[in-house]
Amino acid sequence: MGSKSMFFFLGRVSASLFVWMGLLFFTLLSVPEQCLGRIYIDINAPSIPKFNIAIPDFKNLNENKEHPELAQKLAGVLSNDLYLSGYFNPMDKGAFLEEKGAPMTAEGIRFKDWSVIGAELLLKGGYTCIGSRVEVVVRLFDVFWGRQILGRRALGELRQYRHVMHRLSNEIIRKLTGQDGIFLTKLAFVGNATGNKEIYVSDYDGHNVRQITSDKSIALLPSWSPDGKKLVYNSYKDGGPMLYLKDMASGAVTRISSRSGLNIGACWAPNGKELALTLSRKGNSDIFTINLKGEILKHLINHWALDVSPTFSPDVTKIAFVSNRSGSPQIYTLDLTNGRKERLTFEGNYNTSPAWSSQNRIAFTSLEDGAFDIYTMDLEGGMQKRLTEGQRNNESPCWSPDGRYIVFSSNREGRYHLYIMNANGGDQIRITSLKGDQTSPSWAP
Amino acid sequence: MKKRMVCGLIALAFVCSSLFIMTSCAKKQIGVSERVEKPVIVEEEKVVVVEEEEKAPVAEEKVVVVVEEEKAEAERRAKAEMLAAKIREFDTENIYFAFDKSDLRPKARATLKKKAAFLRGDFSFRVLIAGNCDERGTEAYNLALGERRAHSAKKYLMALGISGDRISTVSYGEERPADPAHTPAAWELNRRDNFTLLR
Repeated sequence: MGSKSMFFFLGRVSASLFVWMGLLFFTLLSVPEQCLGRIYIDINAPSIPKFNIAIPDFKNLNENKEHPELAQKLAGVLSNDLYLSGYFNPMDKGAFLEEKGAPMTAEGIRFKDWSVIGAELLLKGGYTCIGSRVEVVVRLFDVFWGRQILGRRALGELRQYRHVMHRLSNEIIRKLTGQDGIFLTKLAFVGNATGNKEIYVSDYDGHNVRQITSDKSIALLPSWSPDGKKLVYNSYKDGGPMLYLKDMASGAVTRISSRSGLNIGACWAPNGKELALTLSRKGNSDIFTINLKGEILKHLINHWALDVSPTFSPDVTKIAFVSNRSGSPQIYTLDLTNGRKERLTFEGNYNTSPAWSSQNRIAFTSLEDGAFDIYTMDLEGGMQKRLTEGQRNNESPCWSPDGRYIVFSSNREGRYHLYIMNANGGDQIRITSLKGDQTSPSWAP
Repeated sequence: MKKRMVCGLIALAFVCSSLFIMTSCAKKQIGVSERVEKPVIVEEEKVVVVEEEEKAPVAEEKVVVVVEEEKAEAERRAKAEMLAAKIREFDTENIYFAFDKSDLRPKARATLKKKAAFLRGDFSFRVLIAGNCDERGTEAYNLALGERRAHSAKKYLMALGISGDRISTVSYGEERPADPAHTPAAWELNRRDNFTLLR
């Protein structure tokens, strides 16, 4: 994705370079010492206050005023990105005092108009359509200090305007937090809108949905490779639950494990070269690792109980998995260096779906009082935190690649849809609006 | 007088003896004539009977064959219907499990015994056992649980003498509910093994 898009960022040799250099110089001179290189948002803080951000409709900078609808759309994508990030509270446009066609530079903006309605940040944007392409410029201002924090320009295909805006959103987040944003990440999930369960992929915000299987069977448990270029999933198209690998660039699908019984729940090792999964070729479900040709590498868990849902630690020294060896499904870890197993969950009779984050926390699903909810815990099973409560069923947690967000499926509004929330359970926002149910998400970089 | 009485006695004796001779002669004659005629009649009868017997079987066999074919047809149809009913019963009679369990309850065992009896009676059939779960719970875990449910039934059928070669299993986890409702009653119906006879 994005190979056709071209982006010209600030600093690229262009006519506008000197203008921007000048602005930067001006900014550096006038910024008080303590604000230099300020990280506006400390994303590692236990609680992060939200910035009130005003994002007026974008200005159409083209003389012919082509594509006037983009004024709202472009601002909308960016506003939604910043909202989903959980760090911002995009303000209601109805409160804006500004007149149309207002200037886009710190000198021309009346910051008082913005501070009086409570805005802490102001984001101004403009766009120019050139044939099938669109160039977008955004500038972020600190309303209190009355100055520009960031200015970026991006060029891309008009039909991929969401992608263009996600790039700009990422720039904004990087500027304010020092970390990359999640706005260019992708999801895979299972949907049953056609009447059959098929695999779909979408942008992280649930837009740009594409159905990628048409097996007219049962497709299940998609899992992205760590580089986001391949996807494994289960399908019953050849009878039983077998494992398929799809190369996203070429579209080629290979059946990589078709042993009798289960070939399910494959999860990628962080090196992208092996998969851990459940096989039951001898009648009992155990956990194995296989390579991408499907050849067995190791028999990791060999036990009479049901052993499913492996997930690797980021340093690949451990896996977490589910076993019912105690009589009910509970979460265990296996130390791959010494073979030691440890039980992590003891409360309740149904703890499943472990997902190991790049920040070394484990999210899981637990059944209590007839409903499933999502929890997180540390690697010893301690510091448990309940993230969902009182909203029917919440299942299949999956971490964003940066370990700061969780996508999950919930039937709180009737059918199952996908929601994202931050690692603390805050800002639970629905992101899919397809027909039927959407379940079993996987999050790719 | 004496002469007369003697004469009379003699005459009586003569009459009596001649009567006696006559009657015994007549008896003998009847006897002879029977002996002469009987073989002829018997032989004639025998021939007739033989001829009849020789002719009759041809005619009768045809009749019998026709009758038997009709009977066989009807019997076959009845048998086929009975078999179809048995197959239908076999295929529709599920066994059910408790939540998160794969052990066979008494009712399930009774059902499996019936199925084993059927399979023992007709070696041309194999069976596919599909293990299923209710919608609650995690997909991967339910797939493994469904498989274990199918295996529970397979093991029990094998213990009842059915060869493992004739039994295949598949798990659908929570993907093939018998009742798609989201109620405890539906869940109960969905935690099941269902059976399909295969030839």
